[in-house]
Amino acid sequence: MNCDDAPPTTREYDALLRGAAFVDLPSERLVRFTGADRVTFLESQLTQKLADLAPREVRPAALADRKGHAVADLVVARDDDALLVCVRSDRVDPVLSLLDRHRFSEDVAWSVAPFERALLLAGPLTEALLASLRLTTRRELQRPVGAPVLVAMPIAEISPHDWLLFMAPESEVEVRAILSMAGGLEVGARAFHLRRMEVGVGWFGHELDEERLIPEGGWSDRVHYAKGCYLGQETLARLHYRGQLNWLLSRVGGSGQAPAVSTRLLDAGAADVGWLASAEVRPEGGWSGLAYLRRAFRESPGPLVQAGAAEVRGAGVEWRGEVRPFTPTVFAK
Amino acid sequence: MSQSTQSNDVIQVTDSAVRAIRQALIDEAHPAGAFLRVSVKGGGCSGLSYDLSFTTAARDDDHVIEREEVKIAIDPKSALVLAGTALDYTSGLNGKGFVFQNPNATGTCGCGSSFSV
Repeated sequence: MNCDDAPPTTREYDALLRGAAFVDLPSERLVRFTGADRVTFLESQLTQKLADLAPREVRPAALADRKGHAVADLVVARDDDALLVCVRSDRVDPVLSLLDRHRFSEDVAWSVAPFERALLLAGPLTEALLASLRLTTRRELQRPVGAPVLVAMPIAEISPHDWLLFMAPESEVEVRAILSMAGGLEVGARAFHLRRMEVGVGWFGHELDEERLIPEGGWSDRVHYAKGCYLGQETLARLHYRGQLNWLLSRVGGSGQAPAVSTRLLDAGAADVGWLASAEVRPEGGWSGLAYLRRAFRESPGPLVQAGAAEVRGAGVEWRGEVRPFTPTVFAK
Repeated sequence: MSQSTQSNDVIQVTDSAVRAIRQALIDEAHPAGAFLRVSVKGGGCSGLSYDLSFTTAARDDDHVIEREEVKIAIDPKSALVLAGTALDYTSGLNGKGFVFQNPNATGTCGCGSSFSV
């Protein structure tokens, strides 16, 4: 197992990009929503459309506050008699607290599932790994019988091939061994986050916090703009239809050492156009990161330089285009 | 706003609201004993929405308001955020319908159909 503090290696990077890899995601939790009103209640609260969720279908979603600020990024799956919602552990309390304030007469209850361990499966060659765990390649919620993995959800975190695997803590060693035997490489968290930054996926707690509007974090694929009212919808719809998003999380990168997070970014005319939200070194040299950039700069992009770092001025940061929303087609039925 | 009901009720119901409720009971041919349930549900841009429905199913712990043979029931949890609310009925060129004036609401959405506390 790779140490989480170790910088990404070429082998890890290649496994994520071209092979089959798995990474420990200790922060993931599953919350199980039951009750006759579970779908209508969550439909009225979350940003994603859930009313037409097919059996075993999985969709990315988010929870916003009433002003459209991010509360959490979520994954929702329709199980036989429940909705399963994947939430990062440090967001479980804020999410459930907010939902509880809005639960009155609805028949809905929730409980945090006792699956205390999660692994992310990533890379285009994961078919053998899935088979080793008695999972199929069908992009739907799976609950293999008699297997150490209890719940598997297809997601598109860093590639369209990703899966979230939940298991009991006592099964974790066995699952890791099975995945390794099937040709999977366990990669460190830093390698995973490097790829996440390179494909432009912002995470709450990394690039997003409760001060950021959901579209600013590039979470538009988590929002359904035609489904009707939900918490924060008024702000999000206005931003979407007027197209006046002042800040947007965008992919950036450069040569040399990664700048410190929060470094201000300037355009060629030394105007402040944003700041670096995260950065990671690349195994072949240089770095990739995510930065919040002003709308005016995005509409007419050019070279970026770091504020207060004359030694790298003009050589450090290069523009790599706007954030690319993840393809939602992998969630199609 | 029209004259309201007794000041110790959970919500104040105006005369025009009472008339509109009675007329709706007749127009929709609800059975004898039907009453209006006023509740709060999750939903809307601001998180919470008002809900009005006619029913004959009462709960033991309902707060019940009776005005001129019109009954209005409110469940205890909804009563917490509806306390002091004035329920009115307006009609005019800009539309007609029930209007809630809730002193506990810290924010409402633009269309006024949802609120937060």
